[in-house]
Parts: sequence; structure tokens; C-alpha cells
Amino acid sequence: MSSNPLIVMAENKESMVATPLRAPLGRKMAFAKSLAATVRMNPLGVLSAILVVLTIFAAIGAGVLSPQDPNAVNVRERLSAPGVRSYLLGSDELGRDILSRVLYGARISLLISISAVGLGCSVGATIGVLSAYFGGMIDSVAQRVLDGFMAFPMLILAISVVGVFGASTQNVILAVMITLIPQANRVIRAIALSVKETEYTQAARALGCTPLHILTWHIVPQCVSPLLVIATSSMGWAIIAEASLSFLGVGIPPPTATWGGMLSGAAQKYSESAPWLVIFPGFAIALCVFAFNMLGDAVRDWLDPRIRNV
Amino acid sequence: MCLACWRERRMSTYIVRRLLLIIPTVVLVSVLIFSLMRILPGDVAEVILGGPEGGGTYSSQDIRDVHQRLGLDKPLPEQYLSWVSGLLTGNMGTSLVSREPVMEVLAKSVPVTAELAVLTIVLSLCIAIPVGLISAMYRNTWADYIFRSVAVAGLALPTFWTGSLVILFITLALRWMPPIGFTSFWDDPLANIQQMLLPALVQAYFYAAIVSRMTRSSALEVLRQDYVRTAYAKGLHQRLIISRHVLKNAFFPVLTITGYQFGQLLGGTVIAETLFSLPGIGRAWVGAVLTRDYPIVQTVVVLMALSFLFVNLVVDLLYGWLDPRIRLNV
Repeated sequence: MSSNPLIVMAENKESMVATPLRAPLGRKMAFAKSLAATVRMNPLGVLSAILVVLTIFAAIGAGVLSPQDPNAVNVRERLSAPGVRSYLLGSDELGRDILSRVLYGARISLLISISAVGLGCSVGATIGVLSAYFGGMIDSVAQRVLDGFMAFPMLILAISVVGVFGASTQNVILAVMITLIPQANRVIRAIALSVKETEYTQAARALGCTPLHILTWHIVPQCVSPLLVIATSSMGWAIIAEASLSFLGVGIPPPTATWGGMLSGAAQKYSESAPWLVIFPGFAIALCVFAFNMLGDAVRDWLDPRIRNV
Repeated sequence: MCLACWRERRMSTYIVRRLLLIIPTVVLVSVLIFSLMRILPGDVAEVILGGPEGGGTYSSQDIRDVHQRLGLDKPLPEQYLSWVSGLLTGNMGTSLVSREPVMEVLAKSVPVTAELAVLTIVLSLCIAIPVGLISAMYRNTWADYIFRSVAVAGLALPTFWTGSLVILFITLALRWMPPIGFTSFWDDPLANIQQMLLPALVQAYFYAAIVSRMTRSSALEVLRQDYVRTAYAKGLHQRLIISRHVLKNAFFPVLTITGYQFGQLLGGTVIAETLFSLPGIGRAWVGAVLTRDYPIVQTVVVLMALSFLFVNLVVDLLYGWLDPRIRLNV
């Protein structure tokens, strides 16, 4: 299962080709103008950006915002309905406050997905750029190994990693990150290959520029905006992947509050009598993934002017 | 040589080459999963000696005995080669924990997952293609907006949540429970469909969301083509234009995505299986990972990779068959 960047990419193949240099306007001016136009034309994108910012605030401010300690057990008030007593969103089977747990869950979810996407996309892109530029053996070996990774279903790959290395925050990040590397690599490698063949890159080579100079000043800049698009559209998958791992009981172990963990085990058992156990954490995941997906679409529209008017 | 014979020969060389290319990838996958399973702590001997509850007592001599009995004391390359040669000769070994032959574990669980995956893909295509086409034909009307919002929502809803909500709704509002467990379709088709339909629908919603967006954008692309305008101009009936020109040409990206999704589904069903208590391969596999039951984990992963690569090959062949313009290059 995936809201997978490759798919998003494939919907708009042209967006993956290097963006042409924008008109004679100053770069900053053009940037500001296109940003303003995006805001005007894409209110949904702005809404999603606001949602993302709110989620980030909720995650950072979980300590201040949550009414209770997320792990405070209060068996006497277990399974309280939302709004009853001091539980705004109800309490779970151990009497822990759901609102506090959802807020702390946002912290884990964002920590893992942002780190995994950041690391996965950078590693994948680095491999892609180097592989495209140097070609030959390096390219073949790197691409075959990553093909091997791609032959795993993504969730299975993630579960193998946490299953083997054990469930901890770092390992969950590693697991989600590994699923993202092959895709970032594939897209960025394709772009780097096409940039490598452009006349200005060949001219740079003819003028005697070092590979390092060509990579940093000619190839990498062309990869930045596609990478940004891949990163934002991977966020949704990263959040769902982390939640899926916790849901299956192989993610960050309890009692740490995670959205996926809140939906598994006891929540399923008591869901008939206490549906709020299932409803709120799931809603948090859905809202967050929705916001990042929409943001991904908006970023793609913004960075690729050609598909804007489709 | 006539053109047809030439094409045919080209085709068979192509298939052979592609099949040969599968081999290194599968070898790589097998090496990856084999080494992954042996990198770090956690020992199947401890699981076996600890008993079903864990916490059994045992000495380091016991662990050595178990290792020797299971052949885990041999050097790693030797273990790898004996596993692979077993796979090639059809002997998949036995589960280290339950001592059940891996073949039997697979025979029980693979049909469940295969049925679930096929049903999911069929349902999602049946929903997504008409929805995507209607969205494209009536672009920017209320129908389009509704379909697109439902699709965008579908991408954000994780299957384990939609699944939970569906179960909740059915038990609370309809006071009905699908029969627990799994009944083979051949034993009792009705019970089988009752058990499979809900998980398949829940998964299909997610996949249909992706496919319908894809169908819409590629149909829009086709609708802009000159030959479609010509067809309209010469007064061809819309139904014919859509079925003959648009659908056929808009289908290619959809096919690619479907092949990719089918591969993902082979493992992705683990969530639906857990939620709906279906004894599929995904659940069996996760259980095996947690107990470090190497033979099951490795064999299942290699089989998943094989089917993934095979499905992708079939998709590429379908491409060539549907669109003769495409030259099959290796």
C-alpha cells in the first residue's frame, strides 16, 4: 500500500524534466510572484500548508497543550466517553487521556516521517546523482542493488528491517527510510542523466571544470525542485508506514503513544463499546496524511509551471 | 522472413532475455534477506527453548544443541547454499519453530492472500476506471469534484482505519458479523465471499483512489488529441469514441500502476489480514519474522519478489501486445 511518489510522478511525467530557466525577471522576484500566484490559484494548497503547520505546532507543543500525562493510568476512569469528566476525547482501556495521546502521537509520527523522508530522499538522490554522473560499474552495481530493494513490497521491506533490528525510534526511521531510497534514486538519476547530456554541462566539461564543480553547479541545482516534490509527496506514505508498523505491533513499543499503536489491540477489542478509541487516532492520521498529500500536489504545481493550467 | 514471424521471434528473444534478467535480481533479494535475517541479535534457539510463553530456562549447551540440530552452526555461505539449492529442488525446508514443512504453510496461506489480492485489484479497477473516465469527460462539473474529493480522501485513509470503521459500522449499525476465519471458496462460496468482500473492498478503496486519479489524468490527455476531435467532428457516437479511442489509449499508464500495485499488495494485505483475522501469507510471515523462523521468512520474501518481477514482466508484455507501436527493448 502506498501513496507512492513514483505514482504521483508518473501522473505528471513532464514535471520530472529539468525546469527551464525562468524569464528575465530576477530569481527572487519570480519566486515570490509564482508563490503568490499559487496561493491565489490554489486555496486548497494553502489550507493544507496551514494544517501541516498546525500539526507541527501540536507535535512540538504536545507537552504544553496536552491536558494530562499521555501515559498516566487511571483505571477507575477507563473507557470514559468523550466530554465526560475531564476527558475531551475520552479515555482508553487504561484510563489514559486520548487527546494527550493523540498530541504526543503527532510528535512521534512527524519525528519519524520527517527524518525518514529527509534521510531517505537525500541518500536516494545522492546515489542517483553519483550513479548517473559516473556511470559504468558504479552505476550498474548501485542500480542492481536498488532494483533488489524495489522487488520487495514496501511494507514487507520495512517490517523486515524493524523485525531484525528491533523496534526503536531509530530503527523505525531506518525502516521507513529504506523504502524511500530506491524511488528517490530512480527519479533523480533519470533527471541527472538528462542534465548530464545538456549542452551547458558539456560546455562546462569542455572548459575543464572538475566533476565536483559540474555536480554542484550544474546537475544538483536541477534536481532540487523534483526532490522537493518527491519529499513532500512521500510524507503521506511515511506517516502511513509508521502507523502501519505500530498497528502491526512491530513499531515503537508501548506505552509510547503512537497513532497506529492506539488503533491496535485494545482499541479493536473495545471498539463496539468505545468507538472513540478507533475514531480519533485514525482521524488524526487521515487529516495529517491528507494535508501532506495536498501540500505535495501544491508544491508540484508551484514548482512546475507547465502543468499548472492543465 | 515475413513481418509476423520476425515479430514473433523478436518477442521470444525478448521474453527469454527478460526472464534471464529476473535471475540476478532474485539472487540479490535472496542474499539481502538471508543476511538481514542473520545480522543482529535474537536467536531462534531462544524462541524454541523459551517455550510458547517464553521464560523457559536453558543453558548455553542447550542453545548449541539446537543450533547443531537445525544446522545453524555451519558457516553462513554453506547455510545459504543449502537453502538455495533446497529452493531450486523444490525442498523449502521446515519451519524452525513449528517443525511444519514450509510448503504446507504456504499451501494453506497463499490461496487466501492470492484471492484477496486478485479480488482487490479487480474491484479497484471496476470502480476506478469508470469513475476516472466520467471525471475526465465531465471535467470541472459537480460529478468530477465529488469523485476527485472521494479519491483524494481515499489516498489519506489508511486501510487499517477504514477497515476498523467498516467493522465498527457493521457490528454496531447492522448487528452482523462476517463469519470469523477463512473458508475456502470451493467448500462454501457464500461464506468465502462474506469473509473476503469486506477486506477486499477496504483495500480496493485505497487502490481505486490511485487508479482513478491516474485514469482521469491520462484520459484528459487523450481527450485533447486530434484524433478524438476528428472522431467527434465526423459525428461518431460518444460511446464509441470513449470505448474505442479514449479508453484504449488511456489504459497504458493504468496498466503500469496496476502491475506495480499488485506487487505491493502481495505484502500489503498483511494489514487487512490482521484486521479481518484472515490466515494469509502476510500474517504468517510477520509471525515468522518475530520468531526468527528463517526458512519461512526467506522463502516467502523470495517468492514475493519472484511474483513481483513476473507480474511486471507480464505487464510489459501486455503493453507490447496492446500497442504494436511499442518496441520491446531490453
